[in-house]
Amino acid sequence: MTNLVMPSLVYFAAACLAPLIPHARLRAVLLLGVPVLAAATFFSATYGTSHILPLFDTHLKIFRLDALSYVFALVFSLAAFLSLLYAAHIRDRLEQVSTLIYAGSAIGAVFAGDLVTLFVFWEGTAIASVFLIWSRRTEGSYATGLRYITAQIASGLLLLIGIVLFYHDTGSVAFERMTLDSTATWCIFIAFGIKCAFPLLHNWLQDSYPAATLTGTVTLSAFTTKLAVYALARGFAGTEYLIYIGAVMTLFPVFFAAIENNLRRVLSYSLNNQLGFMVVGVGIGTPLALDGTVAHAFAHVIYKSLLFMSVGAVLYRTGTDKASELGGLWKSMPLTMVLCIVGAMSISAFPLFSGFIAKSLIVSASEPYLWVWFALMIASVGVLEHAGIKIPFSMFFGHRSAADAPKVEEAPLHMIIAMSFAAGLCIAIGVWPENLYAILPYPVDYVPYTTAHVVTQLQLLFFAILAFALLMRFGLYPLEYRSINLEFDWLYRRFLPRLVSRLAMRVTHAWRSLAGRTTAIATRILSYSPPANSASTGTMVLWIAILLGIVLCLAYL
Amino acid sequence: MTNYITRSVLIVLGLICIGLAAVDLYVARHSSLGFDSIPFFYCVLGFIAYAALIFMAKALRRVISRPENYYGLQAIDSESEAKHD
Repeated sequence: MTNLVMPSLVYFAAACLAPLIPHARLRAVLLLGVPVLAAATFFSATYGTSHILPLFDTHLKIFRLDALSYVFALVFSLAAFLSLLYAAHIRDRLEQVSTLIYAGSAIGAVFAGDLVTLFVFWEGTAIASVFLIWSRRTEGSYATGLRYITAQIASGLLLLIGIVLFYHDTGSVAFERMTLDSTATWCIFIAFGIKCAFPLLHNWLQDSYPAATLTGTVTLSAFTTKLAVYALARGFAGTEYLIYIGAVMTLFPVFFAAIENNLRRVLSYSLNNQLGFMVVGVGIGTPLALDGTVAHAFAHVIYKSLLFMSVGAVLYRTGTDKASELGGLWKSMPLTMVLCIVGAMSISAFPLFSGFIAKSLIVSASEPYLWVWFALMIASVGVLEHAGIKIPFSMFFGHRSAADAPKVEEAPLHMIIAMSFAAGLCIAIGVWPENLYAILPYPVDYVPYTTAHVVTQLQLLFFAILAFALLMRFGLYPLEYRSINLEFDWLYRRFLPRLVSRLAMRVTHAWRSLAGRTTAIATRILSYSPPANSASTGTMVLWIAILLGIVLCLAYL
Repeated sequence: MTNYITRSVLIVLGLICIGLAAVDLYVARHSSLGFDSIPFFYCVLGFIAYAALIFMAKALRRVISRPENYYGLQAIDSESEAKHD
């Protein structure tokens, strides 16, 4: 136990104070200090530092610093800084406060040493983040936000049920490695799975991220899903199911991303695919695989932010993020193009970029699982397709020449600075991987830059690019047009509501018909009986007396 | 759209690929997989995986593509984009 200030409290204090600063520009500058100040609280603290909070007859470990929590907290701090810098033009206090509470909650959750603290911050991320979607202030974003928060609350509720059952089973709420041998741990596992966008639990991600404000999407892309990866790495490392879940996650989004018109949704599918790599790493659970997961999460947060920022910059200048409406911007936004390509090369794992030194740890660790390794290789080609080629190509080249493209200005200076910072980190991590390897949870005995590894990776990537060029040349590459693609969420967004509505209509119809027939029958019967006023009161009393007599006789028999 | 993929770009790409394929014959691999030591394994994998992915995605689009306003006001897809920020 130490006197260390909890980093999440720095964010929450700032969230309370920020709206009081009337000058928007001053507020934006001061906000940049928040992630720096919060990171300073744990940056040089020693592993093993913890805070214990006595509560009723138990103790909650509300802060635990170790190698795993350190790396995630560090990259979340970086992401918060990048998001706030990128959003420096924003005047909306609601969005700024949501960003601070969201980032603070995510960092608080990473440092949670017990499940109760984790639950509190878990819900904090859910509630704060929905305002980044609602800040768009359109009817569609309101409806999307409701779907998003429903998924997030479902995850929180399952986590709560899991925690209660876990406490009932074990008498402990410590957040340590668990096994899937009880209802409690399954509830917790699925709660993590919802936030991690497991297959069939994933639609909230692709639905909601493109619906947020352009700055909100950058923030959203960093925290929720990586928090889930952290939670899985902490709680379920070595769980074999995760290897196969992760392999499916890497593969299926690449097909949807290839034909998606909304570029922020393309990146959301891409995010889902990248999470798959991390989940495979957690499932394998060896030190190399876990190091790979953490390194990949670290590199991914930065290059994915960079890609979302570049699409956001184009959206900011042109008013659209749809591939069908874009193209030819290389001349008007050259800096954004270069920075976007750095992000694209990082995610595609080109040598000397961050993705290469991070993803290869997981791919190497997956070699004992042949089909999984194969899936990861195909998924790597898919990443190159949608994030490496499609994103920069459709914005800066695409179906328009520079002469036909709208004349727009380069992205604002603060956006360029934020993107340059992220791009610099992507290259620095790729060129000097030892700095990232040094902070990973386990000692890294892995050399990414061997001749064979570099050559095989370049072969994979360049031959895929050759395939792209040939498909383009012969007009076989799919052109984008204004459309959406149906997904699994069609089931609950269209099919089930319509089914319920049709069933309700049929039941109502059947009920009305039954009521009508009953009335008709009753009317017919009454029309045959003598009029009610024709029987005298005496006759009625006589009959009641007879009936009563019969009942009494039967009772005494 | 094909203007960008000019003959010269294709030639440069082709030369890079030929160079990379040639290097393959001189680089010894130490992977535990074994089968990836087959000459040009990664070249073929990259090319075929990419092409197969595109054709499968195109086939998938025929089944699942819908107009932008399919979900109406319940989604952002048909909203005017100028409303951002």
